[in-house]
Amino acid sequence: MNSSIWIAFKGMLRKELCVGFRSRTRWVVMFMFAVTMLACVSLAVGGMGLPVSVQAALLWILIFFAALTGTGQTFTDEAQQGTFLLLRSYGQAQTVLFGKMVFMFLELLLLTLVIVPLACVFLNIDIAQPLPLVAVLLLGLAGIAGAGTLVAFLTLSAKVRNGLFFILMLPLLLPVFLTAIAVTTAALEGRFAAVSWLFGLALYDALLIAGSSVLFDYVWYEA
Amino acid sequence: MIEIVFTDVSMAFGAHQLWQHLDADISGGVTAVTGANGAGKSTFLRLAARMLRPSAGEVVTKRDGQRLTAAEYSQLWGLDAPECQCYPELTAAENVRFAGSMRGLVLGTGRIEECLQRVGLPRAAIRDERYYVRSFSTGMRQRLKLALLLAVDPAVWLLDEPGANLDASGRAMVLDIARTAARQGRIVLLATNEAKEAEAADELINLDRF
Repeated sequence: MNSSIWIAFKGMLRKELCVGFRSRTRWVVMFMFAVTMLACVSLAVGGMGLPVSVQAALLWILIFFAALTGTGQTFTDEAQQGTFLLLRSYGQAQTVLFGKMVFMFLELLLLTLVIVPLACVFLNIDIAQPLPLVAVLLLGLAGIAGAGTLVAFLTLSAKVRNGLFFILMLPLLLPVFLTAIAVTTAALEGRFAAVSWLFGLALYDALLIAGSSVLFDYVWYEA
Repeated sequence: MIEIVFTDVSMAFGAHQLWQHLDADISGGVTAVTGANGAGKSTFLRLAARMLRPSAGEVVTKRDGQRLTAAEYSQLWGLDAPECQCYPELTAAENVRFAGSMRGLVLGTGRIEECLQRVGLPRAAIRDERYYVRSFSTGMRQRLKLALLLAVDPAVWLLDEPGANLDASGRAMVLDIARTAARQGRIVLLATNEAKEAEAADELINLDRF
């Protein structure tokens, strides 16, 4: 990799980590949303034994919506603080995209590390096969981060930003969502999901990230 | 050599026409962009940065006579504008280091401190690792934005009222930095309402005339 691009990527990621750790507002929103939703679902279910497929779906619904409350803000926060123009002035498209994408992935990973154990307790989830679950969580989060960074930027100047963000993200992430639920169900039941599901998900993630990279150059410089 | 060429440029926002048939060829020195409030000075700078497209006409940027793509050109300019803010959660030095890294530069502590001292930031704002920009005054933030430009030293300096919120010595410092950059072969576009700053420029574009 070109050394100046690598320096820029590291600089971008370092900035995101510093700002993220020092402000923490977005994290509070995501974590509070996840915990509140989890508590609501747990109370509504009231100790009923849910089918494993429903548990898997609930787990991904929690991750998906908690993630979207945070990921949609990545460029909005910059615009509201007035720092977006600074980023636009000095940043290169690809380093901004991948710096934010990797940070978003780490942020979602942290969120998942909190949500999954809590969900296990509140929803009585038993994980029979942890490895496929870890794999599908990582791939699912990569898909959310890949699509989320691009869509967050695309919707930056929209008046109905939040609504549009959810509307655009849902069809993009539907394949990720459905595959992740299928693999998670298998992992909770103790069955090994077909490896092709995971490969398919990895391939879709790769396409999402490559597509984001190509489109982002255009919208950053030309739009 | 970098060149910014405006050819028969007209700019309008909806029904509001800013100017028409503007021609300019900017290739060096300090060029002051003046005009009444609302004349479109900031818009002119954004056109020069190719962040905006003109309503009519063409803005072309060239290096040694060859047209630059927007991506190539984006690495050659730096902007200091009132609505452009440094990261409040970072220190002054971290902001400078970030701007440098975005252009592929690894700036040492010595170079960063030199830039921050040049713009007159107090010692605590330079050295204190817990003195974040959110605690800076407006004038200090203004100075910091100039330090970012100094550290990155782009080929094209776009200064949108860089003296706003600064005291007399601060405004003199801005002019001095702009003139030094121009002497070193940079293009400096200075949008200003200050007669003194406009008089000190090598070229003048008065937007009220178009």
